[in-house]
Amino acid sequence: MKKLKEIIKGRGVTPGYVEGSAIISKQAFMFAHGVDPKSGDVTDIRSDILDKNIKGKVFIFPFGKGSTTGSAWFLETIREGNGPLAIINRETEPIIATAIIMAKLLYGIEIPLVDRLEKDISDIIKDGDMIAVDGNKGEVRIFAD
Amino acid sequence: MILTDEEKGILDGKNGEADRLAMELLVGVGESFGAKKLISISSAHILAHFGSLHQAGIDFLEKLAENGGKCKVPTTVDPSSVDFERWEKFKIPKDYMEKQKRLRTAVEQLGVIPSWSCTPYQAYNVPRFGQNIAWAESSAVAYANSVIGARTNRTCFGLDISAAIIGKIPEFGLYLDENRIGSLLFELKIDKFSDLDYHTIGAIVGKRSGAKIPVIKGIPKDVTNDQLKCLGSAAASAGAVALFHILDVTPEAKLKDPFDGKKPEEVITITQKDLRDMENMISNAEPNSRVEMVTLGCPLLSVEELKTIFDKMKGRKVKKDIYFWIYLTKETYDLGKKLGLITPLEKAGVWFSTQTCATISPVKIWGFSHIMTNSAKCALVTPSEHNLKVSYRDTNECIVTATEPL
Repeated sequence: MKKLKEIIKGRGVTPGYVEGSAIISKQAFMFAHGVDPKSGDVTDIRSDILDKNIKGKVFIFPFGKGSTTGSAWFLETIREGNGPLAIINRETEPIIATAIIMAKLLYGIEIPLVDRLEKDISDIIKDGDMIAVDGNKGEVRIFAD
Repeated sequence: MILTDEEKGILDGKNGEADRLAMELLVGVGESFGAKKLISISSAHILAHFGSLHQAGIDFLEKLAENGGKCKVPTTVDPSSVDFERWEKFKIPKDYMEKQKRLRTAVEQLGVIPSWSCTPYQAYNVPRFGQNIAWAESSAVAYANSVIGARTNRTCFGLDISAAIIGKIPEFGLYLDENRIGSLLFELKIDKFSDLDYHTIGAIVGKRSGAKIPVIKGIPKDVTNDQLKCLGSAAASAGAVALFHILDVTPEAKLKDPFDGKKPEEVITITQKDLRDMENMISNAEPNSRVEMVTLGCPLLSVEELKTIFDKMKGRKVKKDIYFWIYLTKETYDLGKKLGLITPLEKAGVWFSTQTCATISPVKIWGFSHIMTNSAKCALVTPSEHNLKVSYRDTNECIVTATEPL
């Protein structure tokens, strides 16, 4: 059984509860030309997670960046079934929130988004760690190994 | 967020399904970003090019159109991914064209003005100072906020058409006075400005500013609207600049201190050498490798810019082993034709294309490995979009590279 190690409080932006393994970028992330919707592979040549895959993961990155078409790229990635399970940002932005809300309206897919955590989660966990994201309560749970 | 009874009614579906969906998105985003209310907008500018929207974008726009959505405010649309008239000449695959046509049908059903232009402020959608608008297209956002003093965030796909249908947008970000204050000062130490320099200054400012608001000192007072258009497009694509102030030039900086009495966080000097360094950084091609295509018109050309190119092209024709593609609005093309600027250039081998551009059309299918442009935005965006190398040069060098004497 999973053993709860820590609960970190933040702000729930979009609702839902999921548990999954983490993938972490320490840089601002762009969805427009930054991810291949057909696979979920990261294609931005300047990204620190180039060639890694976000599909079905809890995707952690500080901020969004890039073109205002990013919400369409992200929405397409979700439509193709290659979207992340949840997103954790330091401070989220409209491109990301818009895509997640559209995914719910169009395809009935819910992706919890939490930001403004009390501490920097990317320092505490590493790629592949199992965590829970609760968009309803606005918190993240970290489990012991 | 506090909603009026009318807005609550729309959320409950009183105005039909399209309005309900649009309102849900506006309220959802507004709640996420601490907006207290929705504010009325006077115009919108939306995205509808298949290259970035994909099937998901078609799904959303068609859903709104099929459910009776109509724009409540004048709304224009950014360039298409294909030239609707010349798509076969540009080797656009038929299925790709069909997707773009579905987007065209949807936006026309929604009552969008089919301008297919990234420069709506030059025709059909000209905001006034201080008006709230909801625009997408980073270069147009930079122009509207900065040069005109209208107010918009970088409105993303989805939020753009929802705002157009409801005629409102959540009040956050650049709609609020306190978020329009400058924080970085750029001092130009440059005597003489070429057209390319405005792109390059924009690229430097964008790269150094990120999402902060830059204030620029030292731009000549007689700078043209086209030069400001180019500066803004570069700043918006090199960083996330949605608003810049230029001392003695842009309206908000003329009316009051753009730093609101505070000291700039940082003062950054830009010299002639900084321009040359940035030019070299933007170009990523081997200096001696052969250029296969030269492109002008990012942002899309105005009539004045077309005139300049026409003058430089006198007595020259396009070389046999190179493509020379020039992008402009449909209106510029038609007006240019009346002025006798188009036909001679077409005879000289130039390929004009309207309502699209090299940056957002599927140029990849041509398999170019090296192109040249006089636009910093095009040079910054195209390599990752089309997997090719770019040389960034001024208009003269672009023309000399693409053409030879008659």
